[in-house]
Amino acid sequence: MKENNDILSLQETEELCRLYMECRLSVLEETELQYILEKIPYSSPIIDQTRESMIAEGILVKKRNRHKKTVFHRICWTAGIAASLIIILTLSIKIQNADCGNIYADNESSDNFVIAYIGGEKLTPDASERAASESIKKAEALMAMATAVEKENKINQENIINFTSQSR
Amino acid sequence: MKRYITTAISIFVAIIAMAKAPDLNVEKLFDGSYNTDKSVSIIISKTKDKYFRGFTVNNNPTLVKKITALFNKDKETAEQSQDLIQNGSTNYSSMKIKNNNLYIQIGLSYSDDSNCYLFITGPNEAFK
Repeated sequence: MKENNDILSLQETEELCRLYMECRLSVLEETELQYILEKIPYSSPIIDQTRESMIAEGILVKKRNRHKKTVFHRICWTAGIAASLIIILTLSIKIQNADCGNIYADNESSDNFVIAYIGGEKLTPDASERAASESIKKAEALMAMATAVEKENKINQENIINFTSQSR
Repeated sequence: MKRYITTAISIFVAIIAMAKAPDLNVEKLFDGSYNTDKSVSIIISKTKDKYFRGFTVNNNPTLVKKITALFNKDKETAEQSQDLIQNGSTNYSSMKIKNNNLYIQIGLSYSDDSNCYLFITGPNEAFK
């Protein structure tokens, strides 16, 4: 048998296939023929028959199926890697946020707490309570003012609409 | 088969991890980095019903600009917003952000370009 590196002609390949079908090839030669049939794209009735016979015996794998399987595997692997990266990224962001962002975590787990820093200094619990109470009052006053302004604007709008419709 | 199941589980976990409610940009001010800033006063209070955060800035125009930028970023996701303008400049801005079917109220009032007061308040459930 020729060396694998040499290119076999169609006739030589057909001859080898004929010998294979007649069971006149040694195990080593059969293996070499299998290798050749996988690599060489020749097609003829005897070569195709040999290929099919080898596929039926499980010696040769159908090329198209193998290709399809490889593409499917690649997609699965890529999706898996992408999903893992997303998990790692999300977890790392969460951990980072937890490290630098939640210094109040111990207190936040409890139902009632007040923390106050004024001018860079942490206040005592009593002073914090007072400061929080003032701050909440200020926020409520702002919200009340905004609601009052919104109401006033609505009334003004309605008045303008009424005035316009009356003058017509 | 095992590999496909593992991949499917990984994708599912990744989707769950990504489907987290977005954090408020203005909450970044309460990450502890301004605790020792002399131009800042911070109040954080939590009772059984209500969560409150207050942030006052005195004589710090850079920080006022930063807060305005963070506030405006959150405004993009707000359900309602209001600006009160006096003498050509914004005096008070407020917005409502919906989370867990409840409203978080955020307000920002300006005394001038270097002094402002920000607050975030709402029921505890709205912050979860």
